[in-house]
Amino acid sequence: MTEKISFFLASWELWRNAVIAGSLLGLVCGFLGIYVILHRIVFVSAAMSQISSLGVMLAFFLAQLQLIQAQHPYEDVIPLGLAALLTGTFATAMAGQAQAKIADRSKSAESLIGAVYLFSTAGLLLVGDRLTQGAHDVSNILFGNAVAVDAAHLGLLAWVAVPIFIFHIWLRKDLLFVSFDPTMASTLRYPVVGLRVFLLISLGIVISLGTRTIGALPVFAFSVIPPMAALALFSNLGVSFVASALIGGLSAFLGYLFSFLFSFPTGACMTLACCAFLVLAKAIAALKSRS
Amino acid sequence: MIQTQGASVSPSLPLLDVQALVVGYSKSAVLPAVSFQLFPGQVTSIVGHNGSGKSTLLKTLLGLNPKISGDILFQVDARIGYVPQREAMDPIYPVSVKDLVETGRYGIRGVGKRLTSKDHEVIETSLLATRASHLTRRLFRTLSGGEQQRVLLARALCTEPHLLVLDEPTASMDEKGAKEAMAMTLELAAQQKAAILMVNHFIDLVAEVSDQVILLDRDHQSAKVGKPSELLQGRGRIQS
Repeated sequence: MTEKISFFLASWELWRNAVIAGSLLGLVCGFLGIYVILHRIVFVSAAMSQISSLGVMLAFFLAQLQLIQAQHPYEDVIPLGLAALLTGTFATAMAGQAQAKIADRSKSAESLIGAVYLFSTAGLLLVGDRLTQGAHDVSNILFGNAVAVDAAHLGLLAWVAVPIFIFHIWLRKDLLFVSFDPTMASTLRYPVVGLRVFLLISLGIVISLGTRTIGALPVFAFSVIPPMAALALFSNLGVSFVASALIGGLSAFLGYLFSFLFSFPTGACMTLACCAFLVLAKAIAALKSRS
Repeated sequence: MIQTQGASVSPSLPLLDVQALVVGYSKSAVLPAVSFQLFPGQVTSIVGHNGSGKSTLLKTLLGLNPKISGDILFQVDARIGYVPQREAMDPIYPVSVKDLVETGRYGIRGVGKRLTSKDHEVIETSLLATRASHLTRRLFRTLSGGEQQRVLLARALCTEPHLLVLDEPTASMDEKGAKEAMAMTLELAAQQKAAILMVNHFIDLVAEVSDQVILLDRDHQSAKVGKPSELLQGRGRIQS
């Protein structure tokens, strides 16, 4: 075991980009995930992962049909563009649904989320069936097996995810306000729709980019499990945001390390690392409530 | 959208002027047209049975629900302090009382800006006035019904409102608690010279405190506006 860890550290140059990419996504998705949990839109994140994957797969399929072609280093532009377009459309529809709920509480976005999830999953299977790149690529996109991330990918991820992260830190209280009490926010003439669209679109962009970089499974996990753990541990929202981001980032690193040491798929390892933190957090919360 | 007129809030002009307003959903009216005016300092109560269209009317007046026809004219710069039903606040959010009351200043502060020392002063004054200063560190969801009501009132007062809109402020309170809550609300609204528009089921209380009543009856398709003595005689508590 010690030898393997030494080897992992010695060959750090090989894994550096992938580990940084995973940790950055864990950090940002963990932070944004607090809204996902509090908004009760966990399956929005799942549906976004799926529809984003569908965008990426469609781009592969169109390239296979020779309907589109992109030269290196721009081969990711169309997959990411398609993923962002589909995710953005879904995010905008969701923001519209949320706004409609202010006037009429009987309105629910659940059916829209379910329909998008099912449509995307079925689409993925159909497109995957016709892809000559085959099941390996489909599996990597869906479940994540990012053993290596090139510098261009990491650069793009940093350029997009870091500004989104900064904007979310800045607008944290405003986004919470429109999530918690959109009616009051509307009476104060607060830009409820604008902030919601920003929240959902930025979530969609991070998920699209994350799906293309490390796969849908870990991205979904980062946006759900670390915030669950943080909210179980802390009742202060500010602390929960920080804890969730840290748990997400740390889960990515530990998951990657575990994947290297035992030759398991990285996406599954990152997800299980998140789950380990959740179990730990729940245990601590249970102990705290007893004392 | 709510239209506004004039340059600043004038005590002699109606704060809110509603003319032939028809409310409903998906262009389907739930009530006949209603007209009324609300002057600064006046108390107007909306009463009616469950499903009579009270919430629809209130949401339409607040601009949350599109009107079918008619006019809603607020004086320009009229600030609204909204007190929602306590049950409308989702308990999943671990929001502290301090953070919740602060949001009452967000409309004045603007998106992404920090609260000023004046904002903090107003927040402290509102919490003191509603006897909620000792609750600031508590989570809103852990408070009792009466405490939650006082905190929501403190938040509404933070907007320095010209109009306080209260959605069933005495729901699930006993008569004594309801009277105490209303007495505090009326006193604080009077101090700020704010008008009150509220939905309430305690007819005796409504009759006692209101200058004007809007009585809704969806079954008989009627929406009457008048003095409590004209409209509420012989009525008990209306079930929510």
